[in-house]
Amino acid sequence: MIASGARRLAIAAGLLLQGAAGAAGDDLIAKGKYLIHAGGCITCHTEDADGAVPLAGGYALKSPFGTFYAPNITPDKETGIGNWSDEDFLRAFYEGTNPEGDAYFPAFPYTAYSGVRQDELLAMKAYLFSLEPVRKEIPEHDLPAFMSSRLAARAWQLSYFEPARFEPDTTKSSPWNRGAYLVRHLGHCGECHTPRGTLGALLQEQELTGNPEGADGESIPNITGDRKDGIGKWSLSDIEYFLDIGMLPDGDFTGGSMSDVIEDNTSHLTPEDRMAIATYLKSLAPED
Amino acid sequence: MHARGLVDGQEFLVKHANGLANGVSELQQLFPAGSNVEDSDALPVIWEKPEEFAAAIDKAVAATQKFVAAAESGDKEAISSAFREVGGSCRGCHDTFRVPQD
Repeated sequence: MIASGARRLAIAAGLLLQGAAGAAGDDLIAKGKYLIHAGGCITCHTEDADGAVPLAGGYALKSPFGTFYAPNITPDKETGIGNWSDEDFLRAFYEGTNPEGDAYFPAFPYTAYSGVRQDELLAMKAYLFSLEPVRKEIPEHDLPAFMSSRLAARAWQLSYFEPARFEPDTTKSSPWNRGAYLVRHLGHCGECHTPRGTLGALLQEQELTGNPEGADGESIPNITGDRKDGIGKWSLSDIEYFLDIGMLPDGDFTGGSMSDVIEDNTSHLTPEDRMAIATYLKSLAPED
Repeated sequence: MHARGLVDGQEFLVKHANGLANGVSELQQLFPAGSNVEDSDALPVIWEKPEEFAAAIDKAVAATQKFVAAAESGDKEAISSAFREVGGSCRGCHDTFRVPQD
């Protein structure tokens, strides 16, 4: 009797501990969920098909360099990231390599993500690991012969990848800095809105001036503060509202890939974060 | 501006919500078979998948009707959320059935 009472007590204490950890974990998971939206993960890691499970991969990113198939990032141990440690996860973002040490192609935007804070990345991992594992095999990338090996990705990294750390600019406001972090790093807006050089590296001196030859043949607009070609005539509130529901200042509604970005990413952000993005974009020097 | 709650003017909003709903209710008639002529932003998929196109328009019709009801109620929260739904239905169509705009 005594023994079993003690065992029961131990179990009760264990459950209490578990309950406490669960509560802290819930906050972390909620934070991670927000960041997964802000990071635009869903748009690429979800197949473009009716009934596709979010984040289970399979989306075909058609680029001028070939077709990349986004991996399954649900916690399935065989086809997803269920076996990844925290270190594996961080290495993907900070070094652009998979757990085996092979280099990722920059279709996975680690060039931008390497500026994301470590605690935020681990919150994102906690959210991903709270999801139902989905067993889903993803096809190999369909790339031209000279790019078919991971060595090509490694060579690219040696030339073009400099892990970026986000350093706040103390001469600027805190919304500006928050916006810079969201635009340049977590939200990786430049991946579509900044033009690319011949080997696909972003031309950062032309940050966000648009890419006439975007993925899927889409022409991507200039979103700097230029009054003629960019969004210089949009008010901060116009930008915030656009990122919320997709309405342009003339009352038309956007379509194309930005529609997915709004649905999966920016409409889930707080109004303050959308205003921060607007503040940063409006500050960018006009460029033609 | 009105739907965003930036300025007041319920009468104005109701009038234009009705205008929007009336216009959208005629969308179904604007793309009959054979109307895919000359320079247009309408994508061929409109006529290839007429059921999907009709469903997308039905969504817009329902959303704009709800927006009229919200405008008439004068409830700012309801107006804002109904307008968001209208926007979603606009994007729903423009995404799939219209040439992407620069």
